[in-house]
Amino acid sequence: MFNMTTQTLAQMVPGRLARIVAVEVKAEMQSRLAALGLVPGEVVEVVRSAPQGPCLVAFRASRLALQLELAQGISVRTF
Amino acid sequence: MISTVKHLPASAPHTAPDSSHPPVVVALAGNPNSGKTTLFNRLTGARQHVGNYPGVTVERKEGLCRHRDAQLKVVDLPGTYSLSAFSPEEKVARDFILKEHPGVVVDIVDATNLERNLYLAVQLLELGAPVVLAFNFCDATREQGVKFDLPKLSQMLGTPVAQISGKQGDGVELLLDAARERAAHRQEWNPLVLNYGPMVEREIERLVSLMSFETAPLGNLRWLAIKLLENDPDLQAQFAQGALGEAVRQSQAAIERDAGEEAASLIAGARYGLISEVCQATVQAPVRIGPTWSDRIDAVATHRVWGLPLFLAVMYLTFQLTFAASEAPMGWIEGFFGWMGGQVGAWWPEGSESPLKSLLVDGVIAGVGGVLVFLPNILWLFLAIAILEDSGYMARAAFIMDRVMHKFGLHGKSFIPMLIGFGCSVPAIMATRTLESRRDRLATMLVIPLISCGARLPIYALIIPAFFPSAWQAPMLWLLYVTGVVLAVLLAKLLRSTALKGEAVPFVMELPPYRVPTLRDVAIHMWERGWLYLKKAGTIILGISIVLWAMTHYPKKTVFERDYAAEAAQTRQSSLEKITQLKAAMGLPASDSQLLAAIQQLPAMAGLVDSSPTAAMAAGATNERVARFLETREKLAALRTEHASALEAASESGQAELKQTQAAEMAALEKADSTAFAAAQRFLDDIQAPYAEKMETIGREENAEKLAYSVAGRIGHAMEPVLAPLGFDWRIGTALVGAFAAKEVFVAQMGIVDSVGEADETSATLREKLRANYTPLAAFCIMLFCLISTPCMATTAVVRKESGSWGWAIGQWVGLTMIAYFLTLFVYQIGKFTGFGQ
Repeated sequence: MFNMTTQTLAQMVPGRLARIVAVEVKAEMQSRLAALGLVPGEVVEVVRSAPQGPCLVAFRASRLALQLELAQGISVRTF
Repeated sequence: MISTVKHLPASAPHTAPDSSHPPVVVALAGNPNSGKTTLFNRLTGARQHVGNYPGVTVERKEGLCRHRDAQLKVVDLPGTYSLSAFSPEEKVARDFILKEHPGVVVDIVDATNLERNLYLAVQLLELGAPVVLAFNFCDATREQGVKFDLPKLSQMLGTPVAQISGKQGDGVELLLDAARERAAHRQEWNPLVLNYGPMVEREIERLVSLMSFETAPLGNLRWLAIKLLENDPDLQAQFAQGALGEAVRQSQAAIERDAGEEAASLIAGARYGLISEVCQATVQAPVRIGPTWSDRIDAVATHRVWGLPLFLAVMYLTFQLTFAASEAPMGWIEGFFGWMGGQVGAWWPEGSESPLKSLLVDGVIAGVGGVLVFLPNILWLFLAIAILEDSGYMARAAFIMDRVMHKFGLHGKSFIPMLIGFGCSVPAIMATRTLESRRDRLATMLVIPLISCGARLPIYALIIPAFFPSAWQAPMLWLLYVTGVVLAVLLAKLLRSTALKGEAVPFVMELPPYRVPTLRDVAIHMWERGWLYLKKAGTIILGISIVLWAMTHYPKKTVFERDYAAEAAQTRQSSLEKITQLKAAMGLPASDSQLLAAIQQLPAMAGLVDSSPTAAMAAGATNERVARFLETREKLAALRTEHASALEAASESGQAELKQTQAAEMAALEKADSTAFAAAQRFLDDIQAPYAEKMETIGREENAEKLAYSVAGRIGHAMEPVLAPLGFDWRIGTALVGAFAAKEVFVAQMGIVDSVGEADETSATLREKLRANYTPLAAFCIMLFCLISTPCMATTAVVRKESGSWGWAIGQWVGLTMIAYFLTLFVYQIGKFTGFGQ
C-alpha cells in the first residue's frame, strides 16, 4: 500500500524518487525554479546530498544543484 | 535533415519582403547550454562584435551573416530560462525583444530537454514576438529513438519549427529560410493566448480593465497583467505604482484565497500544462532505462570523495597550461620587444639623450611589450576555461567548491579565478566572467589582487635572502602567501556583508549534460578574449606606462651636484696611465698599440677610449707577449670565479682541502708563464676592477640623482613623512611608484634609487645595500606592503573594464592601499615596540 510521507527535498535519502507538492521560497527564486522545471507535480530524485552543501537533483533530462536553503523550501512526497 | 515550416494563421498581414536594406535582425534566444553560442559562431564566424549592454555587465554579441541573397544581422541574446526580468540577463533579453523589435526571434530549443526549453518558447510566444523554434541536438534525440511530430507541434504552438544540428550545421540553411520568411511576414505581433484557469483569468480581466492601452509594452495589456501577477520586479516598478499596484496585490490575494496556490505558481503550472499537452501529442520517446553517459561521469566528478581530488587535478592542469605553456611565448615576446627597443634605439647615435628615443624605447615599446607579454597567459587560460565551460565540467567544479566558498560569502565558481590569481591577477579578473551574479563577481574581482601573483615573487626573492637565515626563508614566503589568502577571504566576507550585501543569490545551477566542445567555439572564445584584452586594457595600460615613464624621467636634471663627465674622464685617464706602466712592466715598447687595443675590447673596460679600435688594431694580438697576457688573464679570471663559487658551496671541513687544490692550480698557471701571470694579476686587481667599479658607481649615482629629481623621486620624497611610520624611506616610496607599473618593477627601481645599477632579484650588491639601510622588521614590512597594496596598472585597467566603472577600480586601489598602510603600520609599530626584528 501507499506509504506516503511529506518531507523536504533536503531530508531525502539519495536514490529515492518523490513528487514535489509545494515550492515555498522567495518569489524571485520560485520564478527561477519554475523556469528550471521545478514545479509542483514534478517527480524528482535526489542524486547526491551533502550535510551542509548543495544537493544534486535529477528530473527528466535536467540535473540541478540546489543550495541547502532552497532544498529545505521544497516539500515533496515520497512514494 | 528535416525541416518543417509552418506559417502563422492568415490573419498576419503580408508585406512585401524588403531584401535590400537594412539587414534583417535575427535575435537568438534560448536556455543556457542549448547550443545557442555554437549556432551563433557557425552563422557569424569571426565576424563578431562583442560589447556590453549599457549599464550592465551582460555581454552583447552580434555579427553579420550572409544567407542566399541577403545580409542578416544576428544578435546573440544572453542565455535565459525565462523572460521574467529577475536577472540582468533576462531583462536584457526581454528588453531587446520589446524595444529593438528584431525581425525574428530564433529560439534555440535543446530537444534533449524539451519540456524545460519550451517554457521559454511559450513565454516568447505569449509576448507575441515573431518566433521560429530551432530544435537543436536532433542527432542526439534520434539516437535516443525520440520521434517528433513537428508539423503538429508547429500547428499547436502556432509557430514555425526547424530541426538543426548547430554542431554539424545540418538544417541551418532551412532554419534561416524559415526565419527570413517569418520576418518578412510580420507586422502585427500575434501573441499566444493561454488559458490560466478561471481564477487567474478573472483577475487578468480585472487588471486589464484598469489599464490604459498606451501603458503596456506593444499594447499587450494581457501580457502586462500576467507579468504583474507573476511579481515581475522590473514591470512592477514601471507600471504598478499606486492604484494599479494595489489592484495587483488584491488580485494576488484573491487568487491565493480561491485557488489555495500563489498566482505565480498557477501561471507557471499552466504553462507547463500546455507544454505537457503539446509533448504528449507530438513526442514519442522510448522509456529510458539506466543512467546516461553524463550520469556515469558525474558519479565520479561529483563524488563525495573522488570529486575533490579530481577537481584539484583539473585545476592543476589548468594552472600548468596557463603558466607553464605561456613561459616560452612570453619569453619570445619579451625578447622581441627587447630587440625592437634595441633596433629603434639604434636610430640615434650611441649615448644620445634624445627624449623621443627615450619615449619610444622606454615608454612606448616597453609599455606595449608589458601589455603583450600577458597575451599568451590570457589565450591559454581562456582555452582552458572554454573547454571547461563548453564540456560542462565548470558547473561540477562550482558544485564541489560551493560548500567551502559559501562560508566566505562567495560562490563556488569564485574558486577558479582566485586560483588563477596566484599566477597573475589580470587573467584571474577576466575569469570572473563565469560568475553570473554581479555581486559575487565584484567581490571576487576586488579581492583577487590579495592573492600573491607571480610578479610579486621577485620582490620576496630579493628581500627574504637578504634578511633572513636560510631556515626561515621558506616559512617567510609561505607566511606571505597565506597572509594574502587569509586577507582575501576576510575581505570577501566583509564586502559581502557590507558594500556588496544583498541576499546571497541562493545557489541553483544546472549541471548540463557533458558535451565535446567544438574547435570553432573554443577558438573563437580564445580569440575574443585575447582581442578584448589587447584593445581595451592595451589602450589604458599604454597610456599609464607613458605617464609612468614621464614621471621617472622628468623633469630632467641639467645641473648636477657633481660633474659626472669629468669624474669619468679622470677615471679613464688614470686607467690609461696604469696601462702605460703595465706595458713597461711587461717589457713592451712604448709605441706598442696592441695591448691597449686588446684591453679596450674587454667588456669590463668598455668606454675606455672614445674612438672604436681600428680594424688593424682589432685584428688580434700578433704580439706574442700580448697574446699570452690575454690568455692568462682569461684563465686567471675564470679560475677565480670558479674557486669562489666552489668555496661557497663547500662544507666547512672541505674548505681547507679545497683551498689547497686551488692554490696548486694557481701555482700551475703561474709556472706556465710567470711574466704573463704577474701582468694579468696586476691588470685584474689594479686596473680592471677599479675601473669597472668606479665607472659603474658614477653611472648609477648620476641615475640616482636624476631619479631623485624626477616626479617619481619627488613623490618618493614627499611620501617619506607618511611612509616613515612604516619603516620606509623615500627610496621605497619611489620604488612603489614604479611598482604600480608592474610589481616586478619594484626590484629594478630599488636598484636605481639605491644606485647599484641594473638590479634583479639575484643581485648581491643590492642585498648588501638593503641590509645596510633597513632592519629585518622593515624588510618584512616592505614585502607585506607590496603584497597588499596598489594593484598594478594592468589589474586596475582590467578591473575598470570588467566592472564597467572607474569607481570600483579606483575604490579597490585606494581600499587595498589603505589596508596595506594600516596593517603595515600596525606590524611595524608593534615590532618596534617589542623590539622584534630590529
